Amino acid sequence: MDEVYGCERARELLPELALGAVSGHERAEVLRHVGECAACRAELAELSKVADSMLLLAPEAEPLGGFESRVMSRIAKVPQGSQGPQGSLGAPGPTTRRRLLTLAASVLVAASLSAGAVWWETAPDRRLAEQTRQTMDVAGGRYLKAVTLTTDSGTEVGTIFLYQGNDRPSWLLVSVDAAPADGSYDVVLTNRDGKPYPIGACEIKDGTGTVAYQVKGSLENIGSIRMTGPGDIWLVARA
Amino acid sequence: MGAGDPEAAAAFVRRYQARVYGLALTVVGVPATAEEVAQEAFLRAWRFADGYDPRKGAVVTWLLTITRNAAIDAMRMRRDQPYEPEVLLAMLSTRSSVRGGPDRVADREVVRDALRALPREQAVAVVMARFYGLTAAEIAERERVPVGTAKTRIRLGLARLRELLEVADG
Repeated sequence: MDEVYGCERARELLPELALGAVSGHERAEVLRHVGECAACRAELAELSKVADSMLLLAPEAEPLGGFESRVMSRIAKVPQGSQGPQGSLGAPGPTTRRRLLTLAASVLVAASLSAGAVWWETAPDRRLAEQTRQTMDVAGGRYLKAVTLTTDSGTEVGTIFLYQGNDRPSWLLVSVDAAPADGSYDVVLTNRDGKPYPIGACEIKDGTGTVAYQVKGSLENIGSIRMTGPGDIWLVARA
Repeated sequence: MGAGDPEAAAAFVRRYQARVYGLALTVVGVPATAEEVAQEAFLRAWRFADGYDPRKGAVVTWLLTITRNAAIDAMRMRRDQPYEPEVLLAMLSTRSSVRGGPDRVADREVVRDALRALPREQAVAVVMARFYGLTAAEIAERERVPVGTAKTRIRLGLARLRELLEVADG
């Protein structure tokens, strides 16, 4: 064991390391010790969880409209062929894309279970997958998907849940929690071929409303769900 | 890029943009810079997605850590002045309106209560280190105390936070 950075010395620095406030030679030395010492590594992992949880305290703030488009535009410009974090900087390879899809999928599943969202988000993916499978087994379905419902300016106003039945009927549940106006909203599905299917109405009161519909056929054919309300207000979700 | 990938990435951005931009704004304090930082954070997340290990934590904390690092990089390059410690502490200690279910809010409030329970000097030390990336020596200079004192405040502050969160977890 390193005489200068033994466990005792390293433990003094672990809180600063967990907070990301150690630099230069000290950082290199303490990391070297942590790399060799399982007990200090475990201690660092615990402290890092605390340090990470502090970042949750930053107040949320919405960026200017069109933020998502600007991000997607930058992602689209990332040159192909470069590597991810395990190698050099650059664009994601196929594995990276799969990983991002996994991240996105975990988000969608978490959003579909509002009461347990924190638990789901903080659980390891393995457990998440196991419970999702269990849910689908009980429900006799193939998958449960959630998509965000937004206004035309991109403000989130609710969620649409899509359940693909296996040997049971498929359904779609609209949950609105922050509609810009109350009233009756016509709900229209649009297939990927552009064909619209009016499926009913959703009554919104105090900005909220919920309605469910049975859907025939594969949900994979749905391209978007659009709700048109009073004053030609419209809300949309991409399936 | 396979069919559907952009939509998955877009859903990811939509889901977390308020969190990411909010943290960026908290660190850099300037909306235009925060926008650049938030974009950069999502770009890094896209590039470094292979580095995400679910065993080490939730997606949101991984993404916020990326955001924090991008914000600190921007702050150092631009030499922007961060908020004063009291202002930062007040921002972090105030309950904000958040989207998400009640459990999510409750989870955040547990951390907030734990931070509030710290002595002021320990709270300042840990938030300056975590949100601004200041070293013990830099905190010592700002707070006009010896470096050893700043280190002690960081160590005791984080240890106390850990205890409080463990108690809250039951």
